[in-house]
Amino acid sequence: MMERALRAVGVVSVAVLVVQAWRGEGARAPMVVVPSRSAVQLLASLPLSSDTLAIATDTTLDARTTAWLAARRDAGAPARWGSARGIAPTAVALEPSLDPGGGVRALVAAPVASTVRLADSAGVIDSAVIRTSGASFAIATPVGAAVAGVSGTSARARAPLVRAPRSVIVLARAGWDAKFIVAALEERGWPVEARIIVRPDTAVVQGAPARFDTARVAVVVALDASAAPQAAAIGAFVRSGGGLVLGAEASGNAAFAELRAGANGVRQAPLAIAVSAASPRRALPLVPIDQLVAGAVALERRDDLVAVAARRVGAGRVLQVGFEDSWRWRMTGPDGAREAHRRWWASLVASASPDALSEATQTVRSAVSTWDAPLARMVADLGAPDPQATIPTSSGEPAGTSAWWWGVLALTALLGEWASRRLRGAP
Amino acid sequence: MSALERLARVQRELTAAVITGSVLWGASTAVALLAVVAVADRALTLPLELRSATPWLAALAAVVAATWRVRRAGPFANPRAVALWVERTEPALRYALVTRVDPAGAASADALERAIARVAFEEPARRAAWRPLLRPAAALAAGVVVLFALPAGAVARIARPAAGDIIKARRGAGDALAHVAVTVTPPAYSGIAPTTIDDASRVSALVGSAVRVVGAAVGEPVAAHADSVRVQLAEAGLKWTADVTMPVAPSVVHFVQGTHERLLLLEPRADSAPTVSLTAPARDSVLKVATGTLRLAASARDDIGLDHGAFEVVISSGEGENFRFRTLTIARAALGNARTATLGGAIRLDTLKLEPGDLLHVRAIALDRNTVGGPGLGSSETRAIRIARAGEYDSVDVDAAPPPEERKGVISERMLILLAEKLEKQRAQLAREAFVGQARVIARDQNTLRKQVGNIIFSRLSGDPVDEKEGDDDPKRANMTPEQLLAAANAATEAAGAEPLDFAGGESPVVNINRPLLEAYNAMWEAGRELGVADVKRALPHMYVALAAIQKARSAERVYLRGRPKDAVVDIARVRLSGKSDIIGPSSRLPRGNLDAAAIARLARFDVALGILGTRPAAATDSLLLLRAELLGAAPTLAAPLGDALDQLRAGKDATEALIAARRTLAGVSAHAAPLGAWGRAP
Amino acid sequence: MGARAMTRTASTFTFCTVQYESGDWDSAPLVPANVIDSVARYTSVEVNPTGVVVPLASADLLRYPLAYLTGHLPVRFSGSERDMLRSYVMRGGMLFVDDHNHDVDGVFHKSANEELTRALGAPLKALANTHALYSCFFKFPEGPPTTGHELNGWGDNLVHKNLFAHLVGDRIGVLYSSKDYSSEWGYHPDNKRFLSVDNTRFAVNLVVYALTR
Repeated sequence: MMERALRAVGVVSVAVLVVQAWRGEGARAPMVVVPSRSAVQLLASLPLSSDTLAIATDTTLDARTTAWLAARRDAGAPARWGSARGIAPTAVALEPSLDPGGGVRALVAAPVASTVRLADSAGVIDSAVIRTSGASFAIATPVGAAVAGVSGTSARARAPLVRAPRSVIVLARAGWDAKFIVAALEERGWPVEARIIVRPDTAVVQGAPARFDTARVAVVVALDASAAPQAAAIGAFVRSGGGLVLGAEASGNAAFAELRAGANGVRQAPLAIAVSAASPRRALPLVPIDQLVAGAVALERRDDLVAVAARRVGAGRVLQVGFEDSWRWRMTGPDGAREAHRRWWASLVASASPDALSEATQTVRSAVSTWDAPLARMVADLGAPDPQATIPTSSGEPAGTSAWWWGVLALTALLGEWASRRLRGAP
Repeated sequence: MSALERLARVQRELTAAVITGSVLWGASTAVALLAVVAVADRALTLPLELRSATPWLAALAAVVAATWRVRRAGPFANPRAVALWVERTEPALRYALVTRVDPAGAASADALERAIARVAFEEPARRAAWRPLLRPAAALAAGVVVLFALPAGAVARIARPAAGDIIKARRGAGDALAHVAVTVTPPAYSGIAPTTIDDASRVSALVGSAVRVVGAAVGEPVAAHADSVRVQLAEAGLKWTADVTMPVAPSVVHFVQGTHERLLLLEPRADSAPTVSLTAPARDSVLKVATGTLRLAASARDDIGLDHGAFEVVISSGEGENFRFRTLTIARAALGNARTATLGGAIRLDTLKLEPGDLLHVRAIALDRNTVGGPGLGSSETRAIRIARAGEYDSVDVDAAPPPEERKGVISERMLILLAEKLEKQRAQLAREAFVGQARVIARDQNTLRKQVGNIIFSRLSGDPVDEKEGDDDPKRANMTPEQLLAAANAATEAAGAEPLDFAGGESPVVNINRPLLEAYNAMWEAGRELGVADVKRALPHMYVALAAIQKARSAERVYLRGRPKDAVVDIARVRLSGKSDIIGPSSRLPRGNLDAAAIARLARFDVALGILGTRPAAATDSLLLLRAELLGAAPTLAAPLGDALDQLRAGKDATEALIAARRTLAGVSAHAAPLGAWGRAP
Repeated sequence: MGARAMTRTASTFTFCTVQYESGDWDSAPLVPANVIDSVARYTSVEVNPTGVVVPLASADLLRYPLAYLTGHLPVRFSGSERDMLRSYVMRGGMLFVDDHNHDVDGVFHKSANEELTRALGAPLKALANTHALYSCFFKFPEGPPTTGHELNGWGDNLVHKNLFAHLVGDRIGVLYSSKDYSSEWGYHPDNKRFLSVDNTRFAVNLVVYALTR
């Protein structure tokens, strides 16, 4: 009985091998296994023929390789491609932080629950697990290209160039908040022009804070009601492409009603007595932003209250900040609070700033773009992936592994059957 | 001699030969290893660590070789084995010796003795025992010859390696900067022994340390600069030396020889001032009476060594505007260069002649032995010991009063002097009319002040109240000349006008006060007259006299009655913007510097160095070294990880991790991830 | 309480007198009211009607970016006072120190300078009389205004030409005066009516400078 069973197993295994061989022969096309991103040299060595070239790869091909294949296809040598393991739909884009302090934001889109690993030529920068649709990384200038890796897929982009920042105008009454906001912006490198009122007929002035010109000024910071007389000019400035950061008191002023992102709510006391490094703004009083206007976006919330909101007005942007007395963060916060306060205010202004990509950026020729979406690019250049053009590596086995196992099974079964017969003396 | 006795002699000789042979094999192995390493060092300049290990490796090799030889020689301690070995060397014995040694052959001992006696086996055995020693002896001799043939110092570099011997004294062409040895001799006061470092790219030492850089004097002459200042180099023997002193701030010494360059970063380490803690008295206190003994105790600590310590006492007496101070140093103790020490002492309070209300400020101080930048002074916190006043708890409620008459106007005699001096200085630049006009303005103010002084004098002398109006409007004195006023004053005080205007004994306080004021009045009158005719130069001496006289008068009457005034709460709404705004004007503000610019520039420099590390490692390392030199002064905390990376690079090790750490530190802000926002931008 | 009133408690200028462990830090108790009065009298800066007294070692000091320190007696800062002063200045605070002895040979001057040098790591330097401090509100073309005590020749019998300062970048972190403004401004604000020229105007410049630079 056992001998029959073993014989059956052996025969079935041999049959499977035969079927596999027959099917494989019928579907065979020139198959190239591409082990690395750049395979132009490898692919260029193949003869041009009308046979469909099957590209099996488990890595993302770079732009040059996909462009080469697209050109080859257009020249009459079609190619199809596939990946057994699948290439994660990933995109990375690098954009300047629009902040004189420099730095780059890397925006990464990747499947939910995947782990993104961001690196540059100097090494790994950071990693994050994707919760929604992607993640953004604030990093200093990357060395070489930044690479976002998601389970074997990698997207590569370079940092864009930016031009020198334009000025920021700060309008406020004399007070600690005005002093330290101006200081923070200047320490960060923003050219600041300011008008600080010390009495109704007297102000401390820096630069030309009455000339709201988008060619010269990027953002106006209106902290309080002292900016109300200029509200009309500021509105025109914003509509023509300027940025505006509205402090809580300024947004409560009727003169800025058309520009603000929402109405002022009831002022909230700080939620913490001491400024902490983890959540410093909980120790600041907050005038929450209620009734966001259509198109306004809440950028920061404290509990259920909107603390920072933004909207577009004409060609410009308006950022409304509900936090007050941010100077206390800088003065009374833990070590590093001064820098944190500086970065936060700089980022607020940068967030309202118009785009700062220089014209030089447009003419830069580089093998690496400022953004990359490998799967989308491969589909665009080579078409949808073909399940046949794959290396059977889904379980990590090399090609032909299953046939090898079938062969071993057949051999073992037949040997077992032969040994059984010999042991019992049968021929 | 019996066969056994003859065999025993052979056995002894064989043992000696085996041991000698093993020693020779061990020695020749060790010498060969030393010779090979010495030759290799001659050609390749082996690192100190390898050369230091070589003698130990040679000794180990000798032991291994000797042991191997002994084990290979066989069981020469066993007579039967020796007999067999002899039989092999002398076949004529025909196993008679082996049989004789065997207890089973005792029965035929005599026959065997006779057979053995016929064979002289000793000489062949001796030759067979000693012949194998020729090869190790020859090898040893060859090794010794090689070692002796090496140039002077080459063997010493292997046998007694030391930091600094990396420099080979030799002649000819070559790179004089390929290897340098740096010897650091700390200042004598520190008591720290000198150290030598081979091929150092950076040296950290106490400020004032002598740093000697030595290299081989080959090829072109070497030049050196430290922060653009030329460093004198000297040649001694076949080496060049450069001596620099560790500066206060980080510095880079730049050595140049033709196309060869080398940087040496000098990283000064400051001698910290001592840390002192006062343990007794433990807290501030108030003493009812200044008697008894106040015990003093303190501890001090220093990074190098303490020279001496003491307690410093400042005694302040007085109150209000009149304070006197005495400073005492007590319980001075030599601390003998100890790193930690305790100070003790006591103050006998009754010897200090303390008055009620006096304050003792006590602190401990300690000085180190720094002879380079001057002794570092460390001081403890200060304790205040106050002697209580008798009526300490009495209080006087004094309502705030307007300023006294003498202080009512801001324009005082000193101010007038300042104005007159300034005007006199500007005489050459001013037109005559302008000069005269300004002089007359000062003259008018001088006269006003004179009249105020006159009012004070008159009111004090006559007892009449001071008239708030201008003095000349007072009918009583409207027509009085100064002389008449002075005479009236003298009459009132019943003092002789000819007496010197000084504080004569026995005069009443009123006279003491008013005499200087009268003199001031006179001097002001003269000054006003000279100013009126625009002769400022002649007016000034009178003004100085007037000022001195006023001061004398004010010193005489300086009496203060102080109490704690009531807290004043300002009625903001009432006073808001009620002040005169005549000299208020808009002001301009100058922008503040970009604090992050330097950090950004540093990061860019680091990235450039990183970019060329693969193709031009030496240049990249030098760039990083210069960056570290800058960071040591500007941001020492950022310099540390860069130093680690440099050490790794200089040692030829993988510096990737250290460079990543350095870059993250330089970038300042660690990367952080956040979800993609709806606005698409920060925050 | 309205929003405006709440704002005043948080961001309004409050005159702060520094209390230090040694010496007579409270030797000029009328100065705060006088300065507050002048700030209200000449500017529209929101100001609290009373000042506060804050220990130098207390983190509360950081809530008052302009602070005033005076005294006659030796100044010896404790370690925590020194650390706080350093942090205060680096974060953006400005400390105004006035020698109530108006005497450069006095113990306050010597000990305060020694302590400030130790805390700040560098000695104070003379502040140019063209500095913005002297023109940011009232104009003082000659530099710091002279005080009655200087003109009277008390103390060291000198008219001090300059104030001294520790600069953080180009900002004044510590301003030191030997001119004895503590005596000059040490009277009840109601008595300003007796003065032909208000001698506290320079105090307004101090406040405006601190609030705008």
